[in-house]
Order: sequence, then C-alpha cells, then structure tokens
Amino acid sequence: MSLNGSQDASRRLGERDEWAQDVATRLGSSTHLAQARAILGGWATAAGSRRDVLKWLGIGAGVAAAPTLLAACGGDSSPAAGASATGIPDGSGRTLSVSVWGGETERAFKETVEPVFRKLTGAKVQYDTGSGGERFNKLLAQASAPTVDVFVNSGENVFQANRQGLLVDIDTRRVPNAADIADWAKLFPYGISYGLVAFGLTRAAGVPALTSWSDLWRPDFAGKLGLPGIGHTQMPMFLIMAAELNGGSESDIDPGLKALAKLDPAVLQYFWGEWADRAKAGEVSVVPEFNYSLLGANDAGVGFTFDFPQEKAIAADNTMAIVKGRPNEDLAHVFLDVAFDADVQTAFCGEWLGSPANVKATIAPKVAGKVPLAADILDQVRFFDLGKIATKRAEWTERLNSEVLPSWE
Amino acid sequence: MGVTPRRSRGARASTSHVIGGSGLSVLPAVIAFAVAVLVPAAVIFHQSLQPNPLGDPSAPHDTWGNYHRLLTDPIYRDVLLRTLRVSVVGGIASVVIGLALVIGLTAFRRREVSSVWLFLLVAPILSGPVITVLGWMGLFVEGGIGYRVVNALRPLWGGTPGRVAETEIAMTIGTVHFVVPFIVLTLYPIARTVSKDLLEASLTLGVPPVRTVFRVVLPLCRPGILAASIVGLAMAMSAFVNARFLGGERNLVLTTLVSQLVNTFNPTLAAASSVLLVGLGLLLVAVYGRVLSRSVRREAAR
Repeated sequence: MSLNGSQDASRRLGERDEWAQDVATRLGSSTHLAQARAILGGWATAAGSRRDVLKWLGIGAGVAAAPTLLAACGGDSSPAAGASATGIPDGSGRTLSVSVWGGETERAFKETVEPVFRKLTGAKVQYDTGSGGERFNKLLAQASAPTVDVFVNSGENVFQANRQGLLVDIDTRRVPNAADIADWAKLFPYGISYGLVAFGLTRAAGVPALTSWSDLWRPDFAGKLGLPGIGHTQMPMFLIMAAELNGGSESDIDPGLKALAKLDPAVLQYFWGEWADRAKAGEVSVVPEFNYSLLGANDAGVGFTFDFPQEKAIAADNTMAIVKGRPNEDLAHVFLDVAFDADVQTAFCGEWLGSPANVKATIAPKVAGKVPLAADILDQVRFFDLGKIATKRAEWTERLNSEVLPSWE
Repeated sequence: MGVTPRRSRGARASTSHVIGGSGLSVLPAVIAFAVAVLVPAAVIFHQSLQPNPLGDPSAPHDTWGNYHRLLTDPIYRDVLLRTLRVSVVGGIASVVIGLALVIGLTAFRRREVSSVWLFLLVAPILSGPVITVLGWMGLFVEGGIGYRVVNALRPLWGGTPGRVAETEIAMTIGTVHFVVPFIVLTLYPIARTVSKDLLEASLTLGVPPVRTVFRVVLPLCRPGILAASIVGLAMAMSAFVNARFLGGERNLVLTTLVSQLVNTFNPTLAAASSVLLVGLGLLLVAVYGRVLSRSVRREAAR
C-alpha cells in the first residue's frame, strides 16, 4: 500500500496557503494570515520557524502537523460530513472519545495532540482510561454500540480488536503523516503505532552489565528477580525467549515453561511501581522491564540501568486505531494525523518517554540522552508475530498458571 | 419452648397481611432484580459454556470444560480454597476487630468523642482501598515495620520468617483493613441501642466488665454480629485491590483470577470463574442465613 501517493512536495506547498488561511480563520486571527504564510513558506527547511508558528498560534509544539493534514484533507480524500472548504472536518459541538491508558500516556495526548486537534477541528476530546486489557474488553462488550472513536492499545490488543471486526481500515489519504511513519510501526490497514519501547534487562547499581536473557538463570540472581506477571503484555514473548534459549521455539513452548519454572522471582510485577520499593530495600536486583518505565522508576530513586540482551530486547509498539460504527470517523482520522506529525511526535515522546515512530521526529531536548531514536535501537529489538501471540495467549497463560506458578510460590 | 412456635407463626401471618397476601406488591422489586442481576448472570453463565472467541480456533471445545478445569486442575482448586480461606479468616477477623472497636466506641460517655473516633475508623472507606494497599506494600518490604511484625508472629502458627509481600498473610491483613470500617459502620448503630442501664445493672451486681461484655453486650448484638459477618464475608470474598497488590498472582483468588483471565483473552474461563465466585458467595450467605435464623429463633425462645 502506498502511503504517500499524491503527497508530493509541490502539492504540499501549493496547499499551504489554504491551510494557513483555514487555521487563521479558525483561530480568529485572520490579520495574521500574511505572517502565517511567510513563516509557513520556510517550514520545510527551518524547524525553528515551525516552532515560531506554533508559538504564534499559541498551541504548543504540534501545530506544524497541519500543513500535511490539510494537504490530505483536501485533494483526493473523500470529504467527511461537516467538512470545511479545506477538508478539515468541522468538529464544533462534537466530542471525540479516545480510549487510552491513564497516567503518562493520557497526559502526553492531552498536552501535545489534543490542543492541536482542538484548534484545527473545534471538537472536544474526552478520554476513556484504563488498563489495556480492561479497555479491550470494554470495546469487545460494546461491539454493537461502541462508545469510543480512537482506540489506543498494545499492538496485540489492536490486532485482536481488528480480528473481532471492531475497527475500520485507516484511510491513509486522510492521514498523510503516516507517510513519515517507520515501517515497523505500521500494523496496516487497521493500526499505526505512535512509538517504540524496548522490554529488556535492568539491573541495580553494583550488578555488572547483563548481556543475555539467560543471565536471569544465574544462581546469584535467585530470589532477587522482578519478573513479569503471568498476564503481563510481554509474558508470551518472554516465554518464547525462554523456550528458544533451551532448544524450543514459538511452536514448541514446553522448554520455555520448564525453564521459567526454574526461576526464583522476588516479585511478579506489571509496572515499575510494584517493584521500586523492594528494589530500594535491596530485595530485587534484576528486573526485565521497559526502557521507558525505567526512566520513571529512576526518577523515583531506584537507580537501575537498562541493558539490551544479545538475543535482543522485546519490542513493544503502542498502536492507534479507529473504531467501527462511530459517527466521528472523520475526526478520528484527523486525530491520528495530528498524533503522527513529526513535531507533535517529538513533543509527545518527550512526555511519554518512548521513541517516536515518525522518522522525521527528533528527541525533545528535555529528554535528550534518556530517550533514544527508534532508528538507534532498531537493531537491538525484536518484533514478534502479534497474530500468533494473540491466538496463543489464553492457552499459554493457563499453562503458565498450572506449570510455572506453583514453582514461584 | 412450647410457646415459641405459636408466636412465630402469628408474627408471620401478621406480616403477610400487611404486605398483601397475593405478594403482587413485591412484583416490581422482583422484576427489577431479575433485570439487573439475573439477566447479566444468565449472560455470563451462557458465555462460560462457549468456546473462547479470542483463543485458538483449532482448540477442542467441551461445553462444561471450563467448570471441569476449575474444579479438577490443582492450581484452580487451590484458588478456590484460598478464596474460601481468605474470606472466612479475613471476614471473621474483621468482625472480631470491628466488634472490639465498636464496644470501645460505645464506652465513651460523650457521644461527640465517639463520633470523632468513628469518623477516623471509617476514613479508609473515603480514601478507597488503593491508598491503604499502597501503604501496606511499603510496610511489607524487607525490613519494613509490617515485615518485621509479621515475621515476629509467624512462629506462633508454625510459619518460617521470610518474604511478606505477595503472600496470603499480607493479602489477609489488607482484606481485614479494608473490611473492618464496614463492620464498624454496620455494628455501631446496633451496639448503641444496648441500654446503658443493663450494663450498669450488670456491673452493680458485681459482674466484671469483660464478663458483662460476653454475657450482656454480645447476646444483645447477636443479630447485628451475624449480619456484619455476612457483610464481612461477602466483602472479603469480592475484594480485589488488596488481593491483586498484596497477594499477587502467586496467591490467586477468584477475583484476581477473573482479572488475569479477562486480560489474557480468556473471557469464557473468566465467566466460569465469575459464576463460581457468585456461587461460593451465595453458599456462604446461605449457611450464615441458616445460622442467623436459628440464632434468632433461639433468642425468641428465651
């Protein structure tokens, strides 16, 4: 599938004036139209100027999303109901409902994507928060009458939602910023990931660098491990890794189950808050964890270090999708496009702490040196077949309960 | 004894007359109950017999397979037994502690003082279970106060010192902390109805205070204690937050098992587990109801 199709540079430039006029009108700042044109004329070459535009518009780092957004909404895309002359749907009096994790992710959406989206469309945004599993099950239970428009979840949950027929295919003509999204982030046609995080090995100060997942079985770490819980998002991948280290594979999981039963965890955990206190108390010294979660843990004084194992860390991509059967499909496409804009991505990932999926995004200065570019860690992470894992998760969880959990008590 | 059955029958006849012999007056409540409770329960029961729509489509399906697994697989049998154990131990401990607190509260001469203490006792309800559970998680880390106290007490029941976080005892302590305020709220109004004259009469006649509590206060509070026990058992059985964070997956109970299964694409086994949870709850309440009615009959006979 071609992502950029008609998104050639000349068309973008041709429609920029139209965009500037539209944005200015919407913002009630028509007197600034000339200024907008002048600044936008050089946006492609001067990142600083783009940010000036954003400052002028007073809506944060992401408004530069709009040129490509407008380019998409005009031209060959089918205009949505209530669309303006330039193709941006009119969201006045409408509310877009976004299903998302509470906490950092919700905050990142609120602070970076929402202001741009609101200014462009006039629509309000409301968030339906909860764990990935809760929100997936809610979507499943409300299949005949869904209450959310945009579904933000793990790639696996988005895959399952699509398999259950709950999502629409994303119309990439209406999400032109998808052209700048890296291949690993495309769960086409129904999902696009906004960022990458790595699930690898973390260790306490004083523990030498860890080089392999097999280090977890070292006798000196017995009783000192913070392992993912049985229902952890990354548990099936962790199980496959354990199987492969012991002669098994994705289709021969038995060696993995036997190996995991030999581990001696101090804590089973789902997020860093569950092991941070015990790490500080010296009970836990090695934890398989997400790189971005570790930043939060270290801010809380844990003082752990992240290592990429030689077998590679487990890639986790958080994905956006559009729910079927809702009246706001047009607004949902705009919301996705704003979220995938390079500058919005830079700002978003500065809050969320994962690596941006847009190849043109950069690392926000405030997290420089802490958050890597996806391109810099791509050869150190491994992507798994989400379809196979989604199909096998229920069975493997039951086997983990029966064959591994009793050894961990 | 001969008088009691007649009095009891008379009371039933009189009540029946007041609410209407046909029972039609309770029909709206019955319909509301059916719609709000039985219909979702029937949906969940039906779901528990279906093949897992999110699982491997090639996996064989047995209609009663989920129940068979839950009742025969050792890990799930352990979950059922642990649920029962934590509910009964946690529920009873909560009632005992709640009762002691309520008796202490009623001992204050000035009602304003007992009201302040009552507010402090039930304050955890206002903050919700998450805050208190987070507090316990901090106390149970190695070297924490909770860790040291539990390990000092463990030899009393033959336990060995060690990890406290993610254990059944940590979960039970959290459950008691969660349930006690509700027990206090249930018992306090009943305990306040016990006439001070009776207590003073008992004490004046030379009965020691502790014996007065057992011979006067407790018998008069008995219906309240049994009602509070049902509340305690039901809440301990359905408690989730403390089970999830203080017991963890190494000490699964039915609530945390349901959560785990729902989050791992296994809604049909989760549905079967929910049905068992409701069934176990109803069984416990039925047993208590029986004890309650016997006790009330015994009281009436005196």
